[in-house]
Amino acid sequence: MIILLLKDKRPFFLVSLITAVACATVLYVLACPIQLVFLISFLYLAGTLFAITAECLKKTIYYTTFSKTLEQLESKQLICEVMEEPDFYEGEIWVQALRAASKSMNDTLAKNIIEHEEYREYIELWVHEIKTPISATKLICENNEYDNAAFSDVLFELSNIEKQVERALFYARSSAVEKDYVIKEIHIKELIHSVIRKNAKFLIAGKIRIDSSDILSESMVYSDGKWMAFILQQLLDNSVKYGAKTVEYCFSDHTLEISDDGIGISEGDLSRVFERGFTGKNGRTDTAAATGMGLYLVKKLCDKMGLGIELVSNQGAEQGTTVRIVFPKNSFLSFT
Amino acid sequence: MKILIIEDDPTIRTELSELLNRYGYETTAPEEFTDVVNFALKEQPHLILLDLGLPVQDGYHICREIRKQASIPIIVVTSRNTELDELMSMNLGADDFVTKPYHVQILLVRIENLLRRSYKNTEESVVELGGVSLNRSRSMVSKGDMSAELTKNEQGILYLLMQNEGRIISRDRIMEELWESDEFVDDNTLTVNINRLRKKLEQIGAEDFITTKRGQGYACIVSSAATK
Repeated sequence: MIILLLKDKRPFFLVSLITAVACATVLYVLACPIQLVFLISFLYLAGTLFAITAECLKKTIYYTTFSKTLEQLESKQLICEVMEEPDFYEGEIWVQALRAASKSMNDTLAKNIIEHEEYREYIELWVHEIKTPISATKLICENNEYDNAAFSDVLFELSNIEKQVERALFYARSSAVEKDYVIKEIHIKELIHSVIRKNAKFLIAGKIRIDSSDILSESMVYSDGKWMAFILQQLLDNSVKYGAKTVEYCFSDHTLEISDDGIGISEGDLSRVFERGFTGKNGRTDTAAATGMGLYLVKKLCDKMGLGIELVSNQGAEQGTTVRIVFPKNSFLSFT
Repeated sequence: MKILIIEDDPTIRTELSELLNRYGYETTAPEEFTDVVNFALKEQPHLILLDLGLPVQDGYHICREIRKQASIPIIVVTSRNTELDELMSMNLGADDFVTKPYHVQILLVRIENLLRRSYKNTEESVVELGGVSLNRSRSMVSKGDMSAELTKNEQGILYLLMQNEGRIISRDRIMEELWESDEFVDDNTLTVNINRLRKKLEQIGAEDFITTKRGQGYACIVSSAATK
């Protein structure tokens, strides 16, 4: 760095050189002894060079520490808070400018965070509000279902509304700054069954076979029950959407495996299914109308809870899709 | 059995009452929420359905206050569905937690289970229709002196049909009912179950108790002469 700084001082040095040569010429004309002329010129130039070098050295030291601090800092906008005060005027100007810039940025950032958080809170509130009329409509339908078949259709549509509402809720939750889930030991079989029970109408109507007989009822996992139920719901919806007639649940060694016999996912799409808004080849057909949000949310929630998730599929061999969810071996995450 | 519904939304309140009445429960519900706790204590219900989001007093507070003074079973019904809400409700003494918009069948099962657990010895749940009676605590169906033991699925089917006397219940609806008790039966299994149930009914002299409506489902149709 010092070389670069010195190079910056080239004009200054050049001017000094010219001044020295001019002085020397004047002294020579005034008949000073030639040795004296050389000595004065030399002293003058040496002094100048020393002064320049000393200044550059000081700045080099300062800027090197500054760069290092900046590099180590994770949130770069906080540099003003941790940097050393410069003891030269140029530096002060820069620091002032930097302070003003980062303050303005931090303010905007804070405003956005607050706005985002408020928006998220509103979505959560709204979801809870909307559940009351949905519940009321559901009850009206249930009470009249036997007398008029149209109510059954309304009930079916209501369950679709409910699913979408639930998605919005979890989308809002997945981006929460603070942790709003509770990891504890839960019975995985009971949880799976509760999701299946909730979907009974739609699974029976679609003549879909469910098999969870391999799972022991005492099998436990560490997870948040509500979040896990949402994840299982998304995966079940996907299986059915993409033509599954059988959905099988297996659990061993902290791993839940959900296999279906649907159309599967092509190899090219497989690596991208967790991307936000990715619909893939299957999703773009008229029947599926995928939004690309389901699996994105699943992955996000899994990441937050510290669960591993992977998808295996072989579209060519028509083997359907298998989803593996790996649970943590202990509740360690709940203490972080 | 009397159920107290504490719910501020009037539509849900009336529809829920209607539904529970249809399933043979007596219901009562406050329409003012200034003094719910005393209302509950005065009414002496067998079970309380408590919504958390209430005007005036918070549901949590009501739950705690009721629990302090009585051991009436409480099911918290709420649209706030985080684990934290559930833990909190349980800590305050609620016996069960159901999230809105609840699945009606699930709610009914929870109510029934909780009542059974809380009032084990007080009465046996027996349904009677046209001389055929179904004892659900002992899984027995009987007519006159004859009786037969039923499996869980058979009992479920018969109970549903008897409960909805005269109405045609579709096969899908019956399957839904069985799925409620984690028996994820398919079409074939249902046919087998129905045939076995019919055979058992025949053995106790109640043939044709279940009528098949082709393409629609099944029904228990009891002629008025038989009921009287």
